[in-house]
Amino acid sequence: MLLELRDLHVHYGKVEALKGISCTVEAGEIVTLIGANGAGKTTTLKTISGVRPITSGTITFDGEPINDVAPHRRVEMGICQAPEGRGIFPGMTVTENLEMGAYARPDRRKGLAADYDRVFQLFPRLAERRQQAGGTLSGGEQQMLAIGRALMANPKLLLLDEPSMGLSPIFVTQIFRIITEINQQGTTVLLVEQNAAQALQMAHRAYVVETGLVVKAAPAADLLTDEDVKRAYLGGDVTR
Amino acid sequence: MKVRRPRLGVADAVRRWWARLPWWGQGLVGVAAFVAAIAAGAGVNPKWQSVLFFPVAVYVVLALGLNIVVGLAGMLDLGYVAFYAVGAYTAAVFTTTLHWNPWAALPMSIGFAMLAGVILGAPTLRLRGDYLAIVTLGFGEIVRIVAQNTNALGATRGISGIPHPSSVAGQHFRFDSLPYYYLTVVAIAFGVLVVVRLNRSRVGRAWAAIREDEDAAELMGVPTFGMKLWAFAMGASAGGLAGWIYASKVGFINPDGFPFFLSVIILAAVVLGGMGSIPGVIAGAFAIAFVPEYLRNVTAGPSIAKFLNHFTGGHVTDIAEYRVMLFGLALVVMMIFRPQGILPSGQRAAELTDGEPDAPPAEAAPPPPSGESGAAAAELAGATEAAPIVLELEHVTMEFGGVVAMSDVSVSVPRHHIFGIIGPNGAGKTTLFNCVTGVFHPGDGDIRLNGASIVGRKPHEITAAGAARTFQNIRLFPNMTALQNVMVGADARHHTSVPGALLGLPRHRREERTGRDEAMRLLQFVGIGARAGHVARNLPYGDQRRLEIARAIATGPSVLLLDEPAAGMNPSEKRALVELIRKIRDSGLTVVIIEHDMGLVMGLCDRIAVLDFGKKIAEGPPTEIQSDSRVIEAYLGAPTGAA
Repeated sequence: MLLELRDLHVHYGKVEALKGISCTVEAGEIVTLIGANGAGKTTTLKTISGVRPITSGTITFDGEPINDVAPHRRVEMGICQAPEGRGIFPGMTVTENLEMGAYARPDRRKGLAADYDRVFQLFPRLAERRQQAGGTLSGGEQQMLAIGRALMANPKLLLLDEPSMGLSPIFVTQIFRIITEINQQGTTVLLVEQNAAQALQMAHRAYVVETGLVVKAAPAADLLTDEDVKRAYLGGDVTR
Repeated sequence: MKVRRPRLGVADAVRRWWARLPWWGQGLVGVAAFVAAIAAGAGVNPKWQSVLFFPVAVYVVLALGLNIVVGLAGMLDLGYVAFYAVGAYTAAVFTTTLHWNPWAALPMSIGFAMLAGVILGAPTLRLRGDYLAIVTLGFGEIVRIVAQNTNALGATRGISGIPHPSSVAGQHFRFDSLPYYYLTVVAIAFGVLVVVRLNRSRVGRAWAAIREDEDAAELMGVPTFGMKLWAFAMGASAGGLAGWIYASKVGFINPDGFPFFLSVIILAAVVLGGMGSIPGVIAGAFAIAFVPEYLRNVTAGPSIAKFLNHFTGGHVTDIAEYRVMLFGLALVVMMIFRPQGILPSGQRAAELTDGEPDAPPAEAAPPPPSGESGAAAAELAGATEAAPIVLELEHVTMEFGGVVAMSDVSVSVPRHHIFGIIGPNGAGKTTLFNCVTGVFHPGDGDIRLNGASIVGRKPHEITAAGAARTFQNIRLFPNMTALQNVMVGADARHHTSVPGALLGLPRHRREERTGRDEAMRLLQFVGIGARAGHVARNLPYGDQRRLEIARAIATGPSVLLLDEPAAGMNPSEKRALVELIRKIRDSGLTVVIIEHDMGLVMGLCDRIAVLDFGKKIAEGPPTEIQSDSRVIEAYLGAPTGAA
């Protein structure tokens, strides 16, 4: 088991955002968390990457408890997140942003050419804009950059928060293909996505999160046909 | 495993109690504090009366003034002492060289200090943060050095023989400190009234909005430059007043009385007390002025000094020699354990914590005057103009250092339409919004809003002219309540400025009332009326999007620009959003929407323009766009397209 959350409680001030989340991610899997806004999905990812303090509960990564491990150490251990809202470095160029992604890698001095190539191959748009400052990219391009930067860390576990947000339809299809590709190359993925239909088609397993609790855990394919899930998160034609 | 419990401090309890007091209760507390301050002056011996006047009371005046700049408007000013100096020198010159009556020189001191604030502010307020701080630091030094080197100002010798003011209300202003202390307490009371009035008005909201997100404030119709200048001028006036009082009392001033260190001390008082909070700032200034004086006289002094000698290896007997060190230590400890200050303001405290702030929803939910909501926006919308085309872009081109973000784009948005703008990432969609709202100035082409060209106008002017927007990455004023956020938007249609708010003119009172009612009505219109008293950043994501829309509608636009409003929403939230946007259109507004969810765009929009690489590649009704081969190739990827 690569990652295990056990009975995780997290507070924002007085408000309890996670009320005892438990879930597991096996090495090689794509696991997705689905649920409404405010259910605690993003908080869960932030807690795993270490930027939110835990009130109680345990996180185990690669067999080691990491409750008290600092966020940057977790990156060194192999957990890397592409945050929602992108969080790119606006004053740095695309290349420099990517280089920052590899900051914690012990092998970075041996050269990162292959890693750059991989990112630029996945996101040709970024290759065109190598020398442009991150802050001048459009919203969707920043999203690509955030994912590319997380890949540069060559993580064991990639945490993706709404990777399809702000991307054009043609690119949404691509990004899900890219995630599958990354996974096949050996990276485990934990994914939060509002586009639940696509996320479930791609993922191996899924957890449904509601108001800070896991209310359902099942193989993703089963949830695609689950009536409750369909009604709540898959929706039909939104214009109706 | 330890459970961290949220705690409720004394300051929070006091704030809660204060917020629940009726206005006359608050006034009564204010009067009681005033009486206590007067009584304290009369009750102590002359030595302490002197300390109470200077530094204590004078520091309080200065801290109240600096608080307007730093605490309310959020600009770091490291040269505040300059205004104090200008006030003192103005008093000296007018009373000695020109032989004015000291009382007549008082408005001159205040006026010249304000003028100095405007002179410093006008060229520099476009700077932000660190840069502004450095410029103000320079200004503080320039004023002192100019005084030092100008013979008419007495150069290094300074100016002596400044006359005392004539007697007023049985108080004889001579060498005795007490009358001056009384005078300063009156000045403080007056200053507090001014700050409270401003803070509870459109002006205070504008300052808070600037502090939270200057760009968003400008785009919601706040004339940020003018409001920052007012903050500087109001802050400077307090400095000028303090300068006059000081010069009148001591009768002699020279440049050494206005060192950089004094700017730092006053800034420390503001931060220590709690930026933005009036009782906090007073407490901070009191602590910073009084504690060192107190330490000088404390009976345990010699033994403490002896104790400290152990660490420093010194041979000091007088504790006073350690007071600056102790004071510095106290500041450091304070900032580590209570960074929000002694008595923080609710809003500023919220910026330092990440939880639900403890401030009660003091401004929450006065019930709306009437039940209508659907029709409400119709009368809010300034959409009475007759021109059939609301927004028109003609051959607009926008370049950034060689990169063409938009090239020769022409779009006409008919009134009462929902107009979609779609296109691949980086196609120039948001750039188009930025050109319309005045964030960018297009290099070529014309943009007309309701028939009038708006190219080159400032964002807040364009907002007033009738274009309001939301942002791709939500940009609310995060630490203000939902209601206050919308009221900032509504203020775009109001006119009260500093004088009106100070005097409580009828127009000001009327605007406050209608602004609040309208804001409440709009919150209900977008479906988050129950959240009025919640701090914006604690709202769930979908509600934040709705709040942004309410804030934009509040500015009274004829066209509403929505930048990816459905991003990050699930299908049921999207359905509700579609309904809301239709309701907005039906109430009389025109909507332009950038969105990637094709199901939503195709079902909602009357007409769609497609951008690719900065060029418009197609425009037409949804069915036409869906089957356009160029659009499919560049954007949709598949003939069906729906996500």
